[in-house]
Amino acid sequence: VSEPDPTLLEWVAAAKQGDQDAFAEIVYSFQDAVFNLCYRMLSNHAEAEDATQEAFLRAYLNLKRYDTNRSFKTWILSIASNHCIDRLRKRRVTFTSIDEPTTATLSLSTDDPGPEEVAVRHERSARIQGYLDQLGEDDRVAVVLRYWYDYSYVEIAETLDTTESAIKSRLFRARRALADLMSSPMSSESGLAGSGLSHPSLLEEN
Amino acid sequence: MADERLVQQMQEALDGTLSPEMTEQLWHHLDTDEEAADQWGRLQSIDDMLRTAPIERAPERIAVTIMARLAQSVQSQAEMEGMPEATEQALMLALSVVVLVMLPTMIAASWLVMQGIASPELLNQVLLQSIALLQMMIQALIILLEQVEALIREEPEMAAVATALIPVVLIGMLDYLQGDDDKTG
Repeated sequence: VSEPDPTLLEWVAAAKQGDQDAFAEIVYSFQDAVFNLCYRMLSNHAEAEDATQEAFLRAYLNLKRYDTNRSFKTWILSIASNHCIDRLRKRRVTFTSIDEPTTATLSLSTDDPGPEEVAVRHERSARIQGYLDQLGEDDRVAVVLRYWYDYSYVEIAETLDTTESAIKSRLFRARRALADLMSSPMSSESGLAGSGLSHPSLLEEN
Repeated sequence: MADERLVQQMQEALDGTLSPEMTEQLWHHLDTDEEAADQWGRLQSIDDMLRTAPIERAPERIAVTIMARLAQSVQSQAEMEGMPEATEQALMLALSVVVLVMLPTMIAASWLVMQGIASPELLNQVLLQSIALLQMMIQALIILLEQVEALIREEPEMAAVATALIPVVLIGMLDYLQGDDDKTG
């Protein structure tokens, strides 16, 4: 885990004293990271937006508990991960079929990609999201932190408050299942997005 | 299907955690085992796809929404917790006095009702008077409490003083009503 940025630590210290402008700087710095995690976990833009807001509010209210020796990004992603896992569990308990189908929207980029590139990116994003949707929440969050945030096993374990070996096992299981899904006829014929089907190997518990 | 140990080695190779010797052995195995090579190809494809996956960026307005929600939450929390302890205690004391002043009036009204049960005419009169009295007191209390609530936000100390004055207002009202009764009676 990288050393905390001194400017960030200043913002955190000021926000702990109630300085909302300082907290706004923190929000601007981490909004994309938190939103991407929430979106990859929840597969729904509106819900991801709400979860992102909730994660930052929780972070603000719990700032006093933040240990400045830890990475702030890891801490805020940990809050967002746990919140998304809770939402997914509640969603599963409530009624799974009311989930909005996967609709990966266009990513806004400062590079201003052309329409063709945007379409390709959109298609790729939706395809990846379709695969992710087949994973259980614990496996999904491990995959998201590994690939989108380039976290090591140790960092993922720290974020999710679990052991390195548990993360390794979740990642291996998820990757293997995704590889099987990728080569399955269902994947190539109709795509996985919004299919609501889960690969049997992904239903196993740790 | 490639065996478990081999698949685990493949995964470790993808994460770069497999030792060089083991990696060498894995490559050698993949050269000779078609099924394992196929498994490796699939794992590598998913790994490549995930490594190059795009990031979904947050909507531009999200920070503004978060800060608005935060300000709202902080304000309501401050309203809940912002009162100094001494003011809170003074308010509690003042409210107790209000209850104490109202208690005899309520008991007197109940006593009059009990007395009036014997005569329907008297009961009717007593009930009408008691209801009118209670209505008046409740209306006055609502107005006074609204004033106190407004004061709590601006000057918490003054709110306690204002609450403490409620019994005086109530006693004044009762005196006034009694004076009216004396004139009419």
